[in-house]
Amino acid sequence: MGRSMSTAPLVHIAGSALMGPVPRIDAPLDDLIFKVTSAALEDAGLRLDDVGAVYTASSDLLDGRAISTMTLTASTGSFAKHEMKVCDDGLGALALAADGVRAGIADVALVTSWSKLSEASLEMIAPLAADPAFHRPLGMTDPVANALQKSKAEGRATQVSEHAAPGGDVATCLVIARDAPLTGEAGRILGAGWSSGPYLTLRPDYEPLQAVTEAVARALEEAALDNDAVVSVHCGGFFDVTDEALTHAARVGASVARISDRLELGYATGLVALDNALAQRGPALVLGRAGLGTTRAYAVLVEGGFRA
Amino acid sequence: MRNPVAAVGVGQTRYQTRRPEVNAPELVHEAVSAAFSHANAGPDDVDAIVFASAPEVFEGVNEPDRWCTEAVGGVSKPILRIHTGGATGGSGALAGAELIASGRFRSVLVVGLQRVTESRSAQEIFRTIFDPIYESEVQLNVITAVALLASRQLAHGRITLDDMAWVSKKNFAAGTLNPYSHLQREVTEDEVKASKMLANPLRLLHCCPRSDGACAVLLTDGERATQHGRRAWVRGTGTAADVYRLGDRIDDLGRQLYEPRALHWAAQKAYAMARVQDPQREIDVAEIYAPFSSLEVAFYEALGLAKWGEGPRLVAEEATALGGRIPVCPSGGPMTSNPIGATGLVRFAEAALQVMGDAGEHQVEGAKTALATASGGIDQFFTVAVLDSDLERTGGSS
Repeated sequence: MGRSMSTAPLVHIAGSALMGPVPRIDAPLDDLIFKVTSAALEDAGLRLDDVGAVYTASSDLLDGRAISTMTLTASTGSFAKHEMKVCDDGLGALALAADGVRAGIADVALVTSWSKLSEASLEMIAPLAADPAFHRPLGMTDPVANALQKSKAEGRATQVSEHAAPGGDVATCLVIARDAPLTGEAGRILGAGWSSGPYLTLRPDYEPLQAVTEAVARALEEAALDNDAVVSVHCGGFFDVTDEALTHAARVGASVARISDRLELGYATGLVALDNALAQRGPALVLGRAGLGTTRAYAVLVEGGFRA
Repeated sequence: MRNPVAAVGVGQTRYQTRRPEVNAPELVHEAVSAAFSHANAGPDDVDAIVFASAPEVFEGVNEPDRWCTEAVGGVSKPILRIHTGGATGGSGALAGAELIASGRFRSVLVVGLQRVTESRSAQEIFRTIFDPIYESEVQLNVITAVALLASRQLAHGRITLDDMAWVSKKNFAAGTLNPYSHLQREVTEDEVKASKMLANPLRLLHCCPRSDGACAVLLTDGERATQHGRRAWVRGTGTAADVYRLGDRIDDLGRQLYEPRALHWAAQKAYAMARVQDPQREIDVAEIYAPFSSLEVAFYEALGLAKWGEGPRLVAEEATALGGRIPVCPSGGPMTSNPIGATGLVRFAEAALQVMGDAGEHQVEGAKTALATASGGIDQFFTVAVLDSDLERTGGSS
């Protein structure tokens, strides 16, 4: 696939900050994001002037207006800087940001994501990802897609299980850097990978969590580690997936500690799980997913525990 | 950048008001197939995909990249969607370049899609991009906001209505030479000045059309690029974001609201990476994301193609016409085709075609170094790329 990443510079996590997740944060988005980016910089012992690039992960529809990052330039720290917005799980923004640092775009980058599900309805928004002509009129939603996958796997009709996805408000920010900060790093990015399944992932030749398997394999390849090296698995989302299914998909041992709050936090889900992983020692696998029926999966291997 | 990157294939659909006979995946597939054909490549030659598409409310489909996964040959491949408003296509190209320059991937397919006319009114959607509390009563949309800028340009003597009319005429004439262009008719300056007023001083023929369409560019690393007969090396890139509020850019940091300083900053970054010291001499052709004729003149200055305040001199000299000293938008540019989220990628693609020598009837003879820009928000987000036919000028090695 690519060149050997083993010669690529190691990317350090210089600092991090997290607000929430809680059912509701009574603050506008710009205040929320400003506080978390400021806190992350303080945690890293850096100033905004040290930052060369900003990568965000957010959704216009969840934020409530088109090009939502327009009004958020000041709070994300993007003024005069290289800015990229990924419309997917924040682990995707992190992977792109790490590559930006490796490519020489910036020595220090911010990676930030947020979600105010107290003011948005995932139930209304998620079905908009379905083909408007053929699938939306059928009521295709994430639970429906998951149930259809389950039916395919079990070879029998199964019922849709409507679940209340725990949501809430949250904002998170990481500071990543080419060089380890003098104040001590919070973690290291060992590897990242992501993969995509077919639309609705209902093809006979495609396993339901195949994107997870492929994403994990790519992350491990970059880290030059094998599955046995993983000490813990941290999940963003995946609330409707059993431990057994996820462990099998990630090809990690059944005894590997799985830590998951099973929260659905929009595009911030994966980065929230990663923030939790930074407290753990040893290579931690952080998983995120997106799309109806896990159309896309992200895997990031981090080494944390530096500040335990 | 750490590793050399080159564009080796370009594909575009014909840009039109509406394409009712195809859905989004089918439209994207047209562009992707064309890019593969141009590059003599196929899906197996692609390691990853960057999907560039701006506000999903235009199409009414959330996360359109997922719907298009099969159409881009993306099953079991890494796909990322990028969205920076109007700058989306440019950001997508730069993201693709970063993924290769880092060493992660050897080839990335960048795809741009927008179907603006799936929505009833683009301007109704654009009203939502502004502050809902302080600005919603001001009836801001893109046309009225750019009209504010143009009013100040006129009031401060930075352009004239004649300048704006000439730019429109130039771009429409160029569009007739581009088989993909949405608008393919010539207009006279008198026609421009007599066209319907939309928001003073902007008239219909000062403004871009609403276009549906898709574009695809295949990027590869240096080693793979040398296996292709034609390539456009990505010599330099830069992006910058300005503050949101228009009022905060009035007489700030020595610049006026209508002087797109963030484009200037982005260009400085790209020129530094590309080692361009004198853009007026070193840039052979520029594909600029200027959906309004008033903006294009200001962009000449921000890009260093003219000094600040001297953009109209290029107009007076007709320097930016095809055949002029520094052709700008020889493809017709966004004023003749504007599938918003894809338009920045179209600029990148057209600039690549120029240095590849593949721009057909709108080829700038002898073009070796080209500029491609993209703009988002109200002069808020900018990307700049310098593309070159010559690897040696990049200072890299394959």
